[in-house]
Amino acid sequence: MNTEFKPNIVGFLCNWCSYAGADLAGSSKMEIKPSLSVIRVMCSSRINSNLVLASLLWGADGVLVAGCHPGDCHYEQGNYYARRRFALLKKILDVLDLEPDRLQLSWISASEGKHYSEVVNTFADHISQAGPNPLAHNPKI
Amino acid sequence: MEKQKILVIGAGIAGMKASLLLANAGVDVCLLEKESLIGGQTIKFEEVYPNMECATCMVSPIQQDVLQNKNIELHMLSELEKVEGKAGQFKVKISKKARYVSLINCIGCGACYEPCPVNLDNEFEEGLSKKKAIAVPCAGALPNVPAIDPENCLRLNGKKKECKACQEACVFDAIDFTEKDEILDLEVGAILVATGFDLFDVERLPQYGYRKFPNVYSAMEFERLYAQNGPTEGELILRKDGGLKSIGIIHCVGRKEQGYCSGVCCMYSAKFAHFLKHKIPDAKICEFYTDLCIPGKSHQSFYEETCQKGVDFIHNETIRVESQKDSLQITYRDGNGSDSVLPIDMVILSPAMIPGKGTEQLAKALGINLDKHGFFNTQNEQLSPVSTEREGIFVIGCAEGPKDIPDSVSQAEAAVGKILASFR
Repeated sequence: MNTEFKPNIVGFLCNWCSYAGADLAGSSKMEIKPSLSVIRVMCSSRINSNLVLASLLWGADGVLVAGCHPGDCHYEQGNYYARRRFALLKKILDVLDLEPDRLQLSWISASEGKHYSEVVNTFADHISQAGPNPLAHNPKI
Repeated sequence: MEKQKILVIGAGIAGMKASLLLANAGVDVCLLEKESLIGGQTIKFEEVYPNMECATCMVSPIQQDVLQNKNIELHMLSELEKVEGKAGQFKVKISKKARYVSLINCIGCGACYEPCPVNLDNEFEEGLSKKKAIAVPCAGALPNVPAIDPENCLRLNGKKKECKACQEACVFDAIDFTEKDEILDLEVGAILVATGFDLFDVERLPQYGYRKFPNVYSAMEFERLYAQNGPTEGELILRKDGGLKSIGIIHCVGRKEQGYCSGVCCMYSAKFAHFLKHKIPDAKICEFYTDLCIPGKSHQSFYEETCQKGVDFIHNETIRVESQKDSLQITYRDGNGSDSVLPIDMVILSPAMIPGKGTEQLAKALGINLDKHGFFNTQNEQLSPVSTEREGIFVIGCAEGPKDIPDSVSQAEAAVGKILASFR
């Protein structure tokens, strides 16, 4: 049996920049690891702590949140809220006994198809090395 | 005037904004675009001044809205041929060229590019990259559907009639060589002209050494060079490589010849300096200007910020780009009349904005006049800046004169206001 670990990563991409960047990476035919399941949201600040924690508790091996570059937010300051929330969330992961770097926040603009592919591939490699999410199959949860 | 269909010519930022506003007010819009993609010149920019916002992030949602809006009837590769009648009941004739690729069947996979045997300079990328006879002009073009260039396609220009390399590569049956050019007849209530601008041909002025020296770039070439979706993916790879330590940006190229200041070049030249400082922090950047033009409430601080970053603004009376052995140098006479020489690795020329190609012909078809610079004439520059002398025809954006993105959008909104106010 092939026991090679294939990670499951949930990617929340903002509609205005990062999702368009992902689109560009696709139409430019860049190679992107298939571990990421993309969910389009209107803004990175739409991602509240519950969505990230639920993803992890229900078995995601990693969570990527991507939004517009600071200063470029379609709603002026959504990505700043996302950044603050993110800093707190990282601390909560520690409490859950999860490595904080299973959660990543990145800024990807609509023209950065290449950057998108690099972010996804590096993150996927990193999660592959970190191994499966220890909470995923914990019967206590 | 009864509520009726409106014709918008040109799907750049002004044309798209006007179409969306009208469509969202429940008005049917027919939008013409002469290229095979929408977005105009704005989609060529990586960032826009003064906030260095990502232009693609700003424009691509607008492009998507235009493509998906049910009230907008979009005709690409189309141009206006003739207008008859008067405001409220214009009869227009539109010539629509064949795309040879179905917008419905094509999924934009791009499998058809590779097998095409024709290699062409990509005009969208200012000739900095190559494309095939079937291609989209750039990655991320919207709609992401290629068009066949009938002049260069071997099958369509008759040089190799049996070639069907792209058709064989397409598994979605999207390519149809039998498609024909069409003539469309429409009745519209009003016409919005948003055909945009071109840039002054810098090759006309030999003192700048454009095309003579490989590392002299025009502003639009530089825009594409630093765009992440451009030919070099944002890397500053020069035509003649070898260290990039000093950059000279020359403003006001063609201003004297055209007889007006375009009003945007100083700001985008400062934008280039911002970008270059970010990319190569220790680079020496000199901006050569004859007059600085930095109006507007947020522009002054952007200029001051640029100066603080260590960018030199040098006033000059005359300027030349010359070669010194293997490298370039700029010889200039400053305001005090003293001559100086500066060795330089790369030169960027910021040319004047000029009327778009085909403006004259379009003015004839529309039955309206041009001003002395060749832009569309308006009824009254002060009080009706978007109405032309012919009732029901409006001109917005850079078709009316050089301007930046916010001004183009304001004009689009103004013209839409005028049209909506005239409906009973």
